[in-house]
Amino acid sequence: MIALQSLLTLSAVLFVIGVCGFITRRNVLIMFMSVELMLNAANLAMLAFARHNASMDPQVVAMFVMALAAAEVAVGLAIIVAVFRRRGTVNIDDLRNLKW
Amino acid sequence: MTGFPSISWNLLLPQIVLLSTALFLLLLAVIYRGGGRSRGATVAGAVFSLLGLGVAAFMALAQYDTVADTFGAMLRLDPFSTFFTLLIIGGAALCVLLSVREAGGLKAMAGEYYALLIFSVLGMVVMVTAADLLVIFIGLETMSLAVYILVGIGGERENGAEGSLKYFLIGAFASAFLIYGIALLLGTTGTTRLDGIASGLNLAEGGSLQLVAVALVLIGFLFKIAAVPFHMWAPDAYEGAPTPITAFMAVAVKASAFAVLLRVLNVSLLPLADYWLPVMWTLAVLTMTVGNLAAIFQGNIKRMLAYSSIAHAGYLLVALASIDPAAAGVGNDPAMASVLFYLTVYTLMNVGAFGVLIYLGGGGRQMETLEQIKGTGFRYPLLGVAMTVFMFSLAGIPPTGGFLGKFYVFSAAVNRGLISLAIIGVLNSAASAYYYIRVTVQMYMRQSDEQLPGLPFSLPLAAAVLLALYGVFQLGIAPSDLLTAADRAVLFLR
Repeated sequence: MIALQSLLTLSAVLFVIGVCGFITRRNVLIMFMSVELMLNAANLAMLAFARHNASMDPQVVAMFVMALAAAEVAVGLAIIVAVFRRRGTVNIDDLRNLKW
Repeated sequence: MTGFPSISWNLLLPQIVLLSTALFLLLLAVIYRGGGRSRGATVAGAVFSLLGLGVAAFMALAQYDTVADTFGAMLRLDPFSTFFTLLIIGGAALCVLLSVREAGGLKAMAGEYYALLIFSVLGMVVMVTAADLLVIFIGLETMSLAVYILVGIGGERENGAEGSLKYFLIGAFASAFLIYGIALLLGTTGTTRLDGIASGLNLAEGGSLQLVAVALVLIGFLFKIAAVPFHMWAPDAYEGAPTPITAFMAVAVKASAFAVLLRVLNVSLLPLADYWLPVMWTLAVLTMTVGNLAAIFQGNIKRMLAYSSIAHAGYLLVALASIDPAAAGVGNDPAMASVLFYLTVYTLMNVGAFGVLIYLGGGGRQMETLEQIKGTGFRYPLLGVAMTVFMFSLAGIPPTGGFLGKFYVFSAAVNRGLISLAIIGVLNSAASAYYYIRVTVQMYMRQSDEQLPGLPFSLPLAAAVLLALYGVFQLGIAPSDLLTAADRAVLFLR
């Protein structure tokens, strides 16, 4: 059995990769994928706890997170498409009409 | 049969009414699209939204004294949640009044506009009623997803989609922090229930992981209230959104996020008060100062009000930093009651200010920058007076409600011995008067370069502005009713 410690470490690493990706990448789609990575890191942590504590609660929460992530994807991709149609780019650095 | 939670449906009537209203509005949008009667869609949408909000408010009012848990104690109904339910519904109703003209311009999208607005109100009401972090998260996402779309609705506006995208990306980023924090809290305390977390917190054993979890959860919420340094989305989203939605974000989204923050801090995280009180202190100073300094340099009034709303979040954080952990659950805490009072006043004055801006834009001429509103004060005398009152109230000048709101917040800080924080707050408030009063100066003391057109009368807009005006004076002169209600509401926060 894999120890809780190592699973949590893996999830933390995934989460940090997601944060770094979000901050450093300029393509909106990749930034969005980084957010998904962060959400799945959270799911992994939850499932690790579920196994360790022999509890069903975290598994249920993980299902909720997946459903909400799917809803977020639907809205997010629609917004990205709308931006692309209007501006012809999905690079966040080119989207700077709103800037003080 | 075991484990199936008993559900008291009648306690959920406000939520049920809101959900039915939103679904009905969606249906209405489809019906009207078929006929291509966009004007009918706008009017019907507004009327039914107001009707639904009114019925929901009536239901909430009827259960004002109820204290009960339902849905397996996932939701908690108490005067605190009812206070915020009413505040959010009231703010949303005012925003619907502000929306009538804007939604008319959306033509085919008008039906969806109101449906999304009510869906996000539903999310907020679920959020403030939640007694479980998972339910808070679901409510937060319901609210946010609807607002992301509303910011970008109607492809004609220049910056709508860009504002929407930035808001969405940062919002999703913040949600990921929140859910990771929830995962760690669930793992280390064994529950997502707010009261269960309080008893599950055990710093001696696995403490550092719990502190990380709490920090991640708080970061998620701080993004939503746009506290510095988590504020960078706010000006872009506020400027890009249709003006009524800007007002909606500034008042309702902020109020619900603060309600959740108050509940989580006081119910779940009270054992960690020594950790988060100094954090709130620091964030309050940063948020006030950055918000006010940035607002001074804005030429666009919507963007200026966005930074002003960041600064107001800072004043509210002053109140959070002044919470007395010893008073929780035993007596009323003036710091917490001041948050409720401030949010109510803030809702009224912000809706009013945005309402005047929308009204000014009705003559076919854009009125968004300080340059554009030159000379409007004498041309449209009533709007000029109203804007002046709202600006004075935002700056905190008596006899308006804004003054009393700030007074209660800062006196709560002084009561807790946070003299330096109160002084920084008052200095900030004085600095903010500069950019608020500059709006009035532009309206009255500068000449417009061109002939200002006449403005078509709009009943819903006028009603919203007058209601806000009345409320700002009412709360500035006779605040005792609201204060009693706020005191009573926070008593149940445990």
